[in-house]
Amino acid sequence: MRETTTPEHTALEDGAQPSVVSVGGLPYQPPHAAETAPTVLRLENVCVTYGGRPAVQNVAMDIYKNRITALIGPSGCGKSSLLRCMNRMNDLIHSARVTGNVYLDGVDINSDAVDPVQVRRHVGMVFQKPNPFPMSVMENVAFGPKRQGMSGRGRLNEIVEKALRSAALWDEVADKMDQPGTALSGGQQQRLCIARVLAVRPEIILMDEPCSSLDPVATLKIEDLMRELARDYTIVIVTHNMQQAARVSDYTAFMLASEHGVNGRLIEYGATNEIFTNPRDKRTEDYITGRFG
Amino acid sequence: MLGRSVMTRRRGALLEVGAEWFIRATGLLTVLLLVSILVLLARQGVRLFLDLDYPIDRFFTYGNAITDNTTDPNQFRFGVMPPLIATFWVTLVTLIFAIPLGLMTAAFISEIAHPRVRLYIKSAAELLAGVPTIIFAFVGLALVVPRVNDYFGWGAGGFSGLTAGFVVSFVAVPLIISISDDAMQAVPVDYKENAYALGCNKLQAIWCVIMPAAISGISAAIMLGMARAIGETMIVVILAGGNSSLPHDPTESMRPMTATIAAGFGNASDQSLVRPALYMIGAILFLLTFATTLIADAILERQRKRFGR
Repeated sequence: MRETTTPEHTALEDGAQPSVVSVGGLPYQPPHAAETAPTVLRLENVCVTYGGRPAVQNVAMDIYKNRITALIGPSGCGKSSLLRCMNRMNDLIHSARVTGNVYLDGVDINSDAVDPVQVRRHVGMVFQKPNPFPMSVMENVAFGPKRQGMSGRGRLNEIVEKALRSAALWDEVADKMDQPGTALSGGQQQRLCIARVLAVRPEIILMDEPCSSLDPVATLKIEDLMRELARDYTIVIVTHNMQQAARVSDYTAFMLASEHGVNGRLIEYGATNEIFTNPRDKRTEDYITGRFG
Repeated sequence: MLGRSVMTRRRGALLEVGAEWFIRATGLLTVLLLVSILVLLARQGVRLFLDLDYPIDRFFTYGNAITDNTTDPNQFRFGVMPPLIATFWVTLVTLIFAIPLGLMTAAFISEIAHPRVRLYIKSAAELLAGVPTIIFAFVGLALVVPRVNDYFGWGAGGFSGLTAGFVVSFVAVPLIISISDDAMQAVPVDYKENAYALGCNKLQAIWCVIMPAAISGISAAIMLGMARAIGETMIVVILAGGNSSLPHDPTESMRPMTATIAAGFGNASDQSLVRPALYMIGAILFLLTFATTLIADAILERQRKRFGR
């Protein structure tokens, strides 16, 4: 576990504005601001509904720079929906409605005036299933930069190599650049997808259960990679796997779904070691000790 | 070890076997029908060369398709090339109009429009596909022919391959919309989400990811639209102009294969050479559309296999 000062660690009442970021209506300031990582993404009062049905309610939380934040909770608790608010992916679902504010470096990216395409170039995303496009390894990684108008074989090669090195994949694919990306192994495909995101040079990388279709060895590789990447990027990961959250993340947010009396609410958010060793909320404790979920 | 009751045939099994054979027989019947159509057309057509001594090389080279009611092979002047080329021109014009319009509409309803709008447009397209083509021909007669004549003066008073091809494209478009939309919908949602998550705008996602992934279905849609254009009869009979000589460009008045058969058959007597000549055209037409549809099917099958559905 990396040494970081934790923001105030609080358990939240049902329906209450999480006091972790907002106390008495004032924006939350971490107690030792100088020692904590700066906030890059601030969620305020975020709600998501699908066709009127609430999936995420009144979530407020800060995502800290160069830290890994894990969203955990049982299936259907709204953690993926919340993650998708961070790069406007919910825009792609016609029935989805997102309210509240999501500030990226002070700009509310949930505002209609903001172009979701630009948002996604700052906040990249890796999905559950490794899904390289049916193109060569080279084309896959160069995909994002090309769509942003970058051209020139030499320049693209440079970007692609850098991205593949950062994703710890270069040594394995350097001589396979022209082979289809889908021919790689599952773990390699997922690292290819990570490289593809890195090539766009985002500030934040969202990962939606990136290891759930991988074997344990490939999973560990991705986890190591995440720790590496946290030097240069901010990572938010949704995971079903609590051990993974404990192993890899600096901060953990615990969410609960409707069957537990709440609809996609943030129950507890704080430093990972605190959440796992000394949870404030009974439900968090029950969940992490495996009593449900 | 399996119990005896499992091993013995149940009483219902006979019925099951019977049903299976019945279904198999109906499938076989379709194939039989296809083959017998081709045999009928070819047998009647080949008579032209075998029994009636019409020179085969003249059939493939002569630059006109005169449907005179003559019984003398020396007087008869009939070449298959003019109708074949006319069909080619009409089909080409159809595709030039139908492909962009069909694909753009399909991309719009599949990826951009609200699902409800998609439903409306798709039902409208499917409704349009059910309109008898003679109605399209009427509309073309009233709206397109006068304008082509006024502005361009093509063909015979506005009746030309281009006029016909343009109107046929409205028959092909609904087909292209419907099938390409299905193909784009079948592209796994992961591809689309990945494209958007990498900072694509809608057009880039459609052009660089969704369309390439759906290319098999899209080509099949185009092939089926093409088969439709090749086989379309009513519109070309009325709008293509009807000139039986070899058309050099699509703006000329022309008579495609289907129109040649439709126009020639009525007044061809049993003994004349026109009849077998028309049968021969029919056989070629049949093979042409059959091949196109077969290719389209093969392509669609490939798409299905690729996405495992």
